[in-house]
Amino acid sequence: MPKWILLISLLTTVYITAAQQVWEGKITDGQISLESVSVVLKDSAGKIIAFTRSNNDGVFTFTIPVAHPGFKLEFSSIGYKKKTMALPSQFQKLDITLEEDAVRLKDVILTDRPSIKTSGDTSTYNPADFADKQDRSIGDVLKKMPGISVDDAGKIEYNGKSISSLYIDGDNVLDNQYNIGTQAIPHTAVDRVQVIEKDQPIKMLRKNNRSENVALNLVLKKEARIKLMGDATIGAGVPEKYNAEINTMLFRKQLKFLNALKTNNIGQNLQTELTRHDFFGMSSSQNHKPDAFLSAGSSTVPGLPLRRTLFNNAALANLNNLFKLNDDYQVKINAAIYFDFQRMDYSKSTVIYLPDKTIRYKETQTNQYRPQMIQTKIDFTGNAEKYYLKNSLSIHSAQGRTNSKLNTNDQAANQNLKNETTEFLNELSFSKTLSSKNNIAFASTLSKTSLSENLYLNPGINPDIFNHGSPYAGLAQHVKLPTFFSHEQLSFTHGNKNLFQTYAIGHVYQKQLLTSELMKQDGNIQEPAGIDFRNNLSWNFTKWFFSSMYEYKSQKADASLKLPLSRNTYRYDDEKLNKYVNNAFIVFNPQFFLKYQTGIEHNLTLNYAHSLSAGNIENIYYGSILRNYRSLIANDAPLSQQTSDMASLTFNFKKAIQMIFFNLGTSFGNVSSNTISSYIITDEQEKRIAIPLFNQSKSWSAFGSASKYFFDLSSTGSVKASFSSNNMDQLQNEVLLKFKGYNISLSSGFKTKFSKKFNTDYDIRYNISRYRSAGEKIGTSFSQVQQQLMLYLSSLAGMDFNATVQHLFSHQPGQKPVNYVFADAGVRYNWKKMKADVLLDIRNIGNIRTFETITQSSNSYITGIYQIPGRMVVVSVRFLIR
Amino acid sequence: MIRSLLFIYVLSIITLIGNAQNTQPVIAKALYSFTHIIDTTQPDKPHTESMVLLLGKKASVYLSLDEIKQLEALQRAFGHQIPELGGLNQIFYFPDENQLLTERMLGSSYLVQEPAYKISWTITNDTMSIEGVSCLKATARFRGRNWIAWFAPDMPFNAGPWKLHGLPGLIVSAHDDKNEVIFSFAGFENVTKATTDQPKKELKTPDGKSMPAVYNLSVIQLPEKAIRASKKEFARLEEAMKKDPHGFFQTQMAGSGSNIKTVVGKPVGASTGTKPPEFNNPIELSEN
Repeated sequence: MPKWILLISLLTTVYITAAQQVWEGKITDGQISLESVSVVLKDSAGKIIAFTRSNNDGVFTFTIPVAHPGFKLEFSSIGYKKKTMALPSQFQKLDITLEEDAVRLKDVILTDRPSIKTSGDTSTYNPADFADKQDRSIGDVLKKMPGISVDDAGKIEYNGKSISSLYIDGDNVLDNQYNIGTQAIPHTAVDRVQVIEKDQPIKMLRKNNRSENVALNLVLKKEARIKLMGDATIGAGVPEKYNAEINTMLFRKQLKFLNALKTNNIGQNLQTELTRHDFFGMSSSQNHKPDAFLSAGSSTVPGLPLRRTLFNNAALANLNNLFKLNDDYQVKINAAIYFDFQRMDYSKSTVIYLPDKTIRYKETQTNQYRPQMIQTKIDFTGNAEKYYLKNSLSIHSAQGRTNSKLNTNDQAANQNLKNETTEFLNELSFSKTLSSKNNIAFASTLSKTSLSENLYLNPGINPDIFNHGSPYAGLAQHVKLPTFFSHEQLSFTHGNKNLFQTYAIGHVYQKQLLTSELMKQDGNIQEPAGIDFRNNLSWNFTKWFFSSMYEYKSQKADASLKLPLSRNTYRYDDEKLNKYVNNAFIVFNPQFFLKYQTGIEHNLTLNYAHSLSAGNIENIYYGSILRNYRSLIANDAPLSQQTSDMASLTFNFKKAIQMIFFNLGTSFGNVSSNTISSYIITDEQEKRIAIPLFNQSKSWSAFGSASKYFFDLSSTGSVKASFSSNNMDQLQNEVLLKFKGYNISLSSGFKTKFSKKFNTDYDIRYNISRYRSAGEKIGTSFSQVQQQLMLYLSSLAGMDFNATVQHLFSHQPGQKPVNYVFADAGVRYNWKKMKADVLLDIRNIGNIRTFETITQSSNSYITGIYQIPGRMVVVSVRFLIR
Repeated sequence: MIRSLLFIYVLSIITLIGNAQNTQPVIAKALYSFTHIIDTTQPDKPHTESMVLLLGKKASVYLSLDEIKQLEALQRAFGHQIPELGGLNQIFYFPDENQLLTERMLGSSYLVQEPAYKISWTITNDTMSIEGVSCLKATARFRGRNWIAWFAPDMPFNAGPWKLHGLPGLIVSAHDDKNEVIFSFAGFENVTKATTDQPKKELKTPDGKSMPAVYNLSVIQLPEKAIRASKKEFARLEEAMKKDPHGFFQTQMAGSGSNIKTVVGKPVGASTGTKPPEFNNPIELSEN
């Protein structure tokens, strides 16, 4: 800094205070001027009458009305001897020299330091600060905590990011199926909710923690750590509705459990409690196995949440037990049994536009679906400073039975589907630190799965195809697919301050055997429908890989580059058809990610990925499989290979002080494949065969969103818009159709908090999709508007009220628009005397019993009319067990 | 003329701050036990917190030891790491420029600049020895309260707890005349070069292994990534967050690319905070 500026500034100070006597001086240690020296002027009695500090140049000034004899000046600074001198009787410029001094100030150590008490730092929340009288579970309170949101499926997000784990006193008891925990743990048992912004459960990786995961930890109150807690709910309603549940839990240091029994027929899907909210392991994405080859019909109603549409009769036992052997070792057992009986009735009419004709068909189905599931998972974890060992063994067994009465184009038939899957999965991982910068890790996955499906159809359909035109008793489709999978890898990580390098080598193996047979029943004779309807296909996939990954992190940039290189071998063989293929190729699928901080309040994110992927057993089997009464699916193509390139660029910007946030982005995608699905569609049937034909689909999109908090209105307003366009090829009835489509979606929301007791939440969404084929004048267009208003009114005569109104509007050209208005209401009353909550729930007040919805594809409309539960009134009481 | 001089004066001060606000080594730290009756209807339930004032030659920073300890506990349990500096609620004071900046967390980290002020202390002749430190008494009216401060002339620092400073010596203890806000002395330690170089008190895991420290207590540095805000702007944000915490954070989420959710789940009750005890007695009161 130029000295003259300082001089002028000092002069100005002098100028302003020139009315009094101004003393000035300079302090040095003999050579260098000393800054920040404390200067004190005392009178003869030792009373401080003025004080100042020396500036950067060692210069100090002070002002006194008039100097008296006996005034003393004291100069002190850390590292220098204190100097005391008499103030000269005559006004003069002072030159002060201080002597260095090694003597430090005396430490003052108090033994009774103040005890630690919680303070209000932002990453720790006290549930009591957010809980309302009507709240019971920690889930009720979590959703009110700043930055935390809980969605319909129970998934928790912190600042828009899904949490990776929900810990209870530091332990991941629920193995990330945490819904049961958020619903059952009373908020009064929780002392604090901690947000762990860089969650790293593996201790040895904490030193150079690169985790970006967010987790929540529920710190329990002392009294909640010793006693058994729980609650019981019982409810009944019309028409013939019930729900009941019991939760028991114990959270000791050595033993933690949370066990629940639940049953209901009010449309609460208990299967969601078994939903895992964490990310799948590295292996599951490579172990491709179809969930099912066969189906009996649609399982969900498009466009509506499940609670509005589900006719159920479900029961669930959910057991979660964690034993801590010591600080480093623990064993965890998660087990569940689930049964349900679901009903679904619908009729569908389908219109498919093809260049030369239009195909229309109708179907009506009455379905009864009985799913069952048993699962057990046993985890052993050793988590120490220098190593990490985890083995988890899980056994999962599921069964489903569907009875479906159907009517298609005035032909009646029965479908009966049974499916069974069993999976044994063992995952082992071990890592060890070699030095402060180097880690080595080994991981292994072994899995054995069996899938068995049987579909019975009677009477026989499409006699022209299956029985030379004469009627027959029925068809039976059998499919079996056992899968063996293994994955082993060894990896090495070298971490520096900013740069992390990971190198891995490994081996992946998958073996499958697909057997399928279509049997025809004619009279009492059961015989195979033919060689075209049979598979006996063995599939072997082997992959050797070497991958390197580089991650760079600095204040400004965050980048990663993945370079996986592998040699993939595919061998498959259908002996009876005499078809054998051995395919091997090198695959290189690089990925790049960059996030660059262009400023404190804005950043750019760039993503790019290239990938070459091959098909799987579903794309190569030769014999036709009757997927359901309408669809026959087969392949007649080499192994499909897909090449895709994806890129996206996003700009995030905020003006936090004005509470304005927005982002803008664009993405491009290009996917090409050497095979295409060829559809032969008639009024009766749909046949799909994959055949070799190079085809490409291209897409790009632009999106943006903005939100603003309106201080005066206590309201949050948000808008979001996106445009996407895509080009794709479809082969239908031997005509290659090139479709162009676009989709525009706009949405906006406004949430207002009118007072502590009353708030509203309004959302509206508009969506339009159009498709058109090049050359041929076929295409579809569909638009939809959804709006919803929610009102909350709390603490009124000990009761809380809520109401929801949802309006859906959809329109297809040439058709009458479809309009629905759903309304729900609820009251919660805190029955203090009984220490219980009483809840009254009225759902679907307008008693809408059928719901019509349209599903659009590039050249088809499917109009479905579904039976849905009508008005429902349920009263339930929940008691706490103490 | 005066105007342009004033302009240059202001300019020079800005330049000075620019220079001074680089990293400052910590020479010593003073510890305080902070007691605050936040709810005047429940004076028996004061908020208490242990605080630390890090003292450098040209800067000081006041922050909560409890907050650091909480973060350390989190790190011990979960390997949670916060950036070396910043991300805490702390008050920076630069005596030479008479500038006070407060770092506050509210979703993001904000650096709030206080308008320059000078506390007009009246230094009395009263002396007292506090834990062996000889102190002088000074009184002042500041931000709605009558403050009584005890400062140590032998400790040549211009700083003090919270926003109190400007005495010829460290403010060792201070309280208001109603004893609603008390900063009592809890210790003073030199931070020498030797202790700075080696991590002072190493964190220990339950099995006795060492962990890196959460917060570097040996330097004073303004957080780089904090958003600068004026006192008025920040007060507006804080007010909005208090009134409608959910909406406040929803706004941030919706604009940062997350989905605008049409929540069709079970409706929940409204968020009406039943705060025990009520915060009705801030340290800073309006002058009237």
